[in-house]
Amino acid sequence: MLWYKMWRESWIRFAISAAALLWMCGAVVLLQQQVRAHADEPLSYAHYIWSAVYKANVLDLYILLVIVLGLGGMLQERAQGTAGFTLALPVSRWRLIAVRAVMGWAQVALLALLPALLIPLLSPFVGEAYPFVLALQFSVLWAGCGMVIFALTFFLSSVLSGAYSPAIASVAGLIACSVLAELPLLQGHPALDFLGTMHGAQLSTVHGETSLTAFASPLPWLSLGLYALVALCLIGVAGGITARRDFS
Amino acid sequence: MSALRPLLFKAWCESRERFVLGAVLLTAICALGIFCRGSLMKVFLPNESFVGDPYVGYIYRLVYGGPARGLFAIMAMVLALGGLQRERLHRTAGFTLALPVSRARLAGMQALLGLGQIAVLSALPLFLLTVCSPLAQVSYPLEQTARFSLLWMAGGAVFFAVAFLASTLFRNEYAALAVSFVFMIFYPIVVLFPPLNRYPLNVHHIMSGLAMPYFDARTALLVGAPPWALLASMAAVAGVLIGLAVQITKQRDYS
Repeated sequence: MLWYKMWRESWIRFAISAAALLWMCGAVVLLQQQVRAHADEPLSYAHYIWSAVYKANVLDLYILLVIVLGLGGMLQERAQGTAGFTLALPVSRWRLIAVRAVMGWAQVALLALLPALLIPLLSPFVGEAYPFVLALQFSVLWAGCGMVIFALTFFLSSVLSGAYSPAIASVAGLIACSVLAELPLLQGHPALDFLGTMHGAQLSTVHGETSLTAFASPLPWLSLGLYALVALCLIGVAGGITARRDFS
Repeated sequence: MSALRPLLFKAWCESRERFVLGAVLLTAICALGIFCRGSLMKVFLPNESFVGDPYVGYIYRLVYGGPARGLFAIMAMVLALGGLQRERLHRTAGFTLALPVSRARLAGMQALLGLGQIAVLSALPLFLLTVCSPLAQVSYPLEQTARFSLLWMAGGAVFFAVAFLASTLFRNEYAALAVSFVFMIFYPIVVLFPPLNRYPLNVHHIMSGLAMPYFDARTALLVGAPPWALLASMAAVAGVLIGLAVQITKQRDYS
């Protein structure tokens, strides 16, 4: 029942996000010839997909949509006058938080998987090929990093009472993260380059590399593990705050 | 006229948290950019051939063509959300609709306040760069900040209007936000393709001046006369979208 509640609260956002991502990926693949023809320098198909999907526009969209998925929670329910009904359910507040977080993470992971399903499938229609394994590697990176973004917004939603303020704060947090990671002091720690990890900076020397095999290096499991830990901590703190707060 | 102030105050109470948060974050980016430029300049203006004033180029890449502009565009959309659809969710739409004012006036005041907030936010870098730069023994041309503010205001109004329309169309308060974000990313891609690519339709580029005839990328300075026709067109687009949203609000059943 709790799972169904969480699904009902987020399914519209999830459906819009999935449709938008599929639409964007489809457009990127189907319009590849026109875009590559107008590129400043010759681009291999793999590099084009990386620049259009995994590094730029579609990645930006994914990040923003994950932020939208992280919004909501008990503070918003209080504003809507439904917090009392939710808190009256025979489950602990921790369980409420956990189910919402797991549902959100599952949606984030599913969204990350969509380009990996669509791009290899559509590529033969434009006379190209894109390996599923390679696409899956990026999906793992997106899912791993997406969970932190989701957890950050989730945490901010339990702190900031405004419906949309957590979204602004999350965007600002990500901007700060990307700028800090570029500082000379932190450049030796690739795990701190969160957005870099997300677009595969740690996978290989993507820049200027046109061979598909160049992408097939091992995933940065250490960074992903660190992000999972950060995400769990953020959800844990959000749970602690929610468990103690008076929602009357 | 007597209803104007209470309606504006109501709209202000509903959006002030978002506005203040946005203003604080924009201020933080500008202030940190100015006072911590020693470290940040290496990030935003790495060793490369930049013929203009390095500080001007750095401020452009941090503020007018960089993260601050992105944050501003997002804030413009977030400020537009809310309204009667959200009030229906919160079960307060009945109280608002019972006020002795027309729905058009209710929605109009919300739009007016939002556009005012966007004007303030777009002028914030102007104020901060003018005041803080001399404190850090650097200077940024006042005329440039004023012109960029104008571009931001027009671009912000368009993003605001899109989100304003979305918030009147969608019942779910987060669906409007998701659709606005999708528009923000998808629309610049659409205008890359013919026949749209013949016209300056990319609001992001119009705001930053990127690839525009009124911007010199080598010096990161706006040149020539301001693009009044473009600005007027953007204001007209924003006006039409807001007008459409008001019409929808007038006809919708909020019971």
